[in-house]
Amino acid sequence: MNEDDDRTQRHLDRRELFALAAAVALTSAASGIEGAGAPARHLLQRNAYPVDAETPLELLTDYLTPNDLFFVRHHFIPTLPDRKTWRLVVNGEVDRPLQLSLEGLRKMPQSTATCVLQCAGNGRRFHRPTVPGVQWGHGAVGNARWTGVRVKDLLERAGLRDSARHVHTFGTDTPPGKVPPFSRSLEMEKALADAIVALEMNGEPLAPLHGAPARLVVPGWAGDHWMKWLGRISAEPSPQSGFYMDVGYRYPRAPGEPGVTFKPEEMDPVKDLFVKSTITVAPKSARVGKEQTIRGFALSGAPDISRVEVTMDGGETWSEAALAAEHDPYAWRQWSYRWTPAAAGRVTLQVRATDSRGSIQPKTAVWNQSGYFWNGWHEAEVEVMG
Amino acid sequence: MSGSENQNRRILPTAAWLLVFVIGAWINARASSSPPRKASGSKTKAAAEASPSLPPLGGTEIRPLPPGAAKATADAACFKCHSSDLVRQQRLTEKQWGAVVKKMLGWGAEVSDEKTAALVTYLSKNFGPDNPELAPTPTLPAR
Repeated sequence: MNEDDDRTQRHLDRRELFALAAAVALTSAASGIEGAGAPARHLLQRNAYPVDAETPLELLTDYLTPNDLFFVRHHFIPTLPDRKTWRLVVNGEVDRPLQLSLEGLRKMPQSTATCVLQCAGNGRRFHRPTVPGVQWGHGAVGNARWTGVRVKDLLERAGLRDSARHVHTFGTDTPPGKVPPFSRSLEMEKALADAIVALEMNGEPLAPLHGAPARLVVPGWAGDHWMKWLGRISAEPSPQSGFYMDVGYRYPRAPGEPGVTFKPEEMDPVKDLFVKSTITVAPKSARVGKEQTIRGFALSGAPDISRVEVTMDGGETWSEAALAAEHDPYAWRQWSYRWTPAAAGRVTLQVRATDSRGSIQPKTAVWNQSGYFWNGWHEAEVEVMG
Repeated sequence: MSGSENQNRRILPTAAWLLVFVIGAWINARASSSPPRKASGSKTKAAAEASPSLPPLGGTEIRPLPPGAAKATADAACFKCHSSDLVRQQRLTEKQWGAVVKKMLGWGAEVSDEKTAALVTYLSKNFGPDNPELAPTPTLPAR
């Protein structure tokens, strides 16, 4: 970007903000609200601009999270690309650099992945001591069907060279002031395995809030890798550098004491998700002898969840929940647990998940200074009456 | 391409967006002014009453920070890039606030050297570890 472009961009940031608000206002007004008797469809906004909003847990009960209820996380007030003039550039260590229009991408073989997107900071507000950043609760997560072009197909069409080991990704959202650009890269092995340049979300064209016209999908990896408003991918010999690679989005290599901060060189970039389970449906009160069904979802950076368990005695004994049959690699696995209270009193239900690589969700998440990957046991309090 | 040509090319679509915004805001205003639906049960009442009053996602509103010596400094320095929500939800020690302010100064926040210490004190006092958790704002769903 030349200097003129840069100056113009900063000048128009507030205008872009109004433009985004306009799109949101119109679609919100048109979408309407659920009728009486159903939970009010809403999001929980944690930051008005750039927009950060999560989904209430009680609305995360479908296998596929509806697009209008899907959490939103923006680093900067985005520039919304013009679909007609937008191009995806594929360059770097390739023989034939590409510039593809939206139409050009649609003409390539399309691939679909149904998988979880979770913000690396989901659950940040539960870390103690408290840490800076958007104070997400449990709802910066969703499961969707993403359709687009495999990164592998793009790189092969461009003539990928053996020297390339990493894929650098670039969005069109420009940071304000001296804020560094949001830069990410992923290892070539992962990029070739299953990453997708997604054009659709749950069968609809990707929405501006979610990175239209194209975003990266990296199954099993945290949301920071899922670059929105994607403008360029570049095959490179080394990982990308910059604040968001070298300082931000890093996780301690070995856990330390809560409150002890690590130097960047003692940490690695966050990548695959940690195993966790979350309760979405639990009664506040129940009666002795009357069956209740507790529900939720479990997810991981492994392709599948092998077990979800429930305890009512703080982890002394565990009972296995039933896993729903519906599943795709790196999607979340919905679960349910039928429970008939035997005695009156206050019960604390806690859940933990085990993934297909054998990782078991810990009682307490590992504290880290940026508050990533909170995955402590989730619990619900139920008052059982006689 | 010169800067002014580039700017014109960007303003035209933006003007169209602003028109859309006005229409959207008008539709929302009409929806908001509708009387709440009557409901019989408490659950349906909650759903019916909550819905029309929900604001759309996003926006430009800056909810005020608490009064204090460095409020004006914070107002001037922080809200070009993010809303006040991001400040008000933090629960950080003075040391953590010092690190956050240092980072923001490096990222272009304009605060003079003389005012920096007072800003850190103000933020620590109002948004320390004992700051009650800030409830998120329920908004309409959005695409």
